[in-house]
Amino acid sequence: MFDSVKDYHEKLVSGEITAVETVKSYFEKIKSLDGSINAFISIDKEAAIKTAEAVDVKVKSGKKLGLLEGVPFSIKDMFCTKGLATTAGSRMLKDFVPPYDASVIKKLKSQGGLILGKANQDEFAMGSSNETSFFGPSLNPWNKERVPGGSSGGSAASVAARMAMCSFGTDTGGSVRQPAHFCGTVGLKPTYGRVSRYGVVAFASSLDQTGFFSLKVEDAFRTAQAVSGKDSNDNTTSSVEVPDWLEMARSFSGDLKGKKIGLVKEYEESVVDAAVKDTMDKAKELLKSKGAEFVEVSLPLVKHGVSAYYLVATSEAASNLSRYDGVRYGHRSELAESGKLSLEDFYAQNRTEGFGDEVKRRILLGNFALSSGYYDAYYKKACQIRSMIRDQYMDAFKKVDCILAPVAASTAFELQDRINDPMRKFLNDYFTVTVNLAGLPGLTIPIQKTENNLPCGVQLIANQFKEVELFEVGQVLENEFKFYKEVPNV
Amino acid sequence: MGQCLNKSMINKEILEKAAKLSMLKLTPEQQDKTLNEMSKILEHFEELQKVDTTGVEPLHTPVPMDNVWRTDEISIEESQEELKSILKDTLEGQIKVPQVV
Repeated sequence: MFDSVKDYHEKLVSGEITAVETVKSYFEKIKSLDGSINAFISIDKEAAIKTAEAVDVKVKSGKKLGLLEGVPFSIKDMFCTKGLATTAGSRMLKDFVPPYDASVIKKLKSQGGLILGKANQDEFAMGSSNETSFFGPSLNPWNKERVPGGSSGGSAASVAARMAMCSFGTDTGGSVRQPAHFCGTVGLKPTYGRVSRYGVVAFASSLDQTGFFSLKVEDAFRTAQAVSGKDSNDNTTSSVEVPDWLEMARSFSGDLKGKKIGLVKEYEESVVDAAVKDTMDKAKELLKSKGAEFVEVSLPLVKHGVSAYYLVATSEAASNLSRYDGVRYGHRSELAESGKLSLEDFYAQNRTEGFGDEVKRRILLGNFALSSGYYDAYYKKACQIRSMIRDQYMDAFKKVDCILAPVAASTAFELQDRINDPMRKFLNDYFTVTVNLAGLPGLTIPIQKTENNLPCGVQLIANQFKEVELFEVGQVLENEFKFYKEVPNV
Repeated sequence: MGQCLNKSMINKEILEKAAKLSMLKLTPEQQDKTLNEMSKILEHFEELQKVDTTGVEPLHTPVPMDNVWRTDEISIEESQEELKSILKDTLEGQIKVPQVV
């Protein structure tokens, strides 16, 4: 198993190992561990080995390797993969085999990346514990009584347990950053519009963003490098040039002198667990010793972030998920097949059976917020507050290069802990959702192991399209704490 | 806005309307549970009403967008046959569904 793609590529080129051997060793690991972790919904051994064989031929021919050549990925089951079931963790799409690849999957393949299988997740990415998955919860490799986080729980668990070298997730309100924190991996959410959403199952289109898991900062950026950029199939992708992050990394000295790091007054005053506070303190101390200057910034409206976020997210979800009616594809009830239902009952029966409780709750909430008489008071109000939150972040970034914040108020919580209290579960997302509302890039860096053998990380947030700030500061933290050396004993 | 919202804004009738708009069926037990949950959530959302948003343009997409242009040429990335492979049932190239009228 490799901590980094760079090491892996060096050994491939030197002939010390082959891609086929490597991929097989990952499948062995999946075979021995995933019975208890449940990080994968499906695996695709045949295709992965076939791709690995082609990689080995390429390596022998001496051709230049792609950025992700031979790298074994787990892919959250939100990404359409041609010929490979894409379920979104839902009964609704249990049998859905896409006839095309998402744009980012096409790019992954063109850079030589290979897909071990599809990762477990909360149903339609709605959840923060992986417990809403139709395929059963994934568990935290560090402590199996705990959740891996969510919604991209399987992605984080697979990387943490060394069942995949890197992974794709999606982050609508923290769904990459929070599981990375719970599982002790790096988790990068790029700026909204950096990465194409074409072929990614839609949850909340103005918030959804593809993100990346890896053990090292460089590899999250390596993956981002390979798949970012304008896509003619997604008009929300930005034409802002994608920098050469890997080149920037090579030239970065590690000195943070002159770097201004923001501490958000409202976040600093929030109640967090001792483990989170201690982790933040350690990160601050280190960054200070490397020359960074801390500046207090205030974002008074983040206290309304969770409410504004859930109104926007559920409203968009209600609209996006209206397409699942069982007519063309998706779950169709046996009752519906009888030919005795009215058209309305036909749709309702398929949807009622196909969606789980959390998804239904959010669709109901969204349709309520969008319905006549409530639209102005809920949806429009939330969008106005969203605008103000973004402006407050923009003002903060006039003073600082990036922001350091907790990822969540706690480390991984126990299964069943929050499933029955939706508002408490929503509040769990306090530190992550405003980043999506404002379209900012965010990065989770694992720092240390705390009580109950659980990893704990910190979050870095930068201005739109300034991912490089995350890279540099993240790299400094990683060089010191070296969490990638910690391996869970599953 | 002038609208006073409180948790009594959600009741059985409103939930039934939301369920109809959502094309979802709820059993009486689910209705009770959902009402209870939504009341709590809406009570929390109520705090938003305290924020003065007079004159603020709602934000619908967080980063500046520019249009995607391409020449008006036909491009076929997936064949019709491939796309039809996901359909439940077909008849003579059309989507076949159960009788609903």
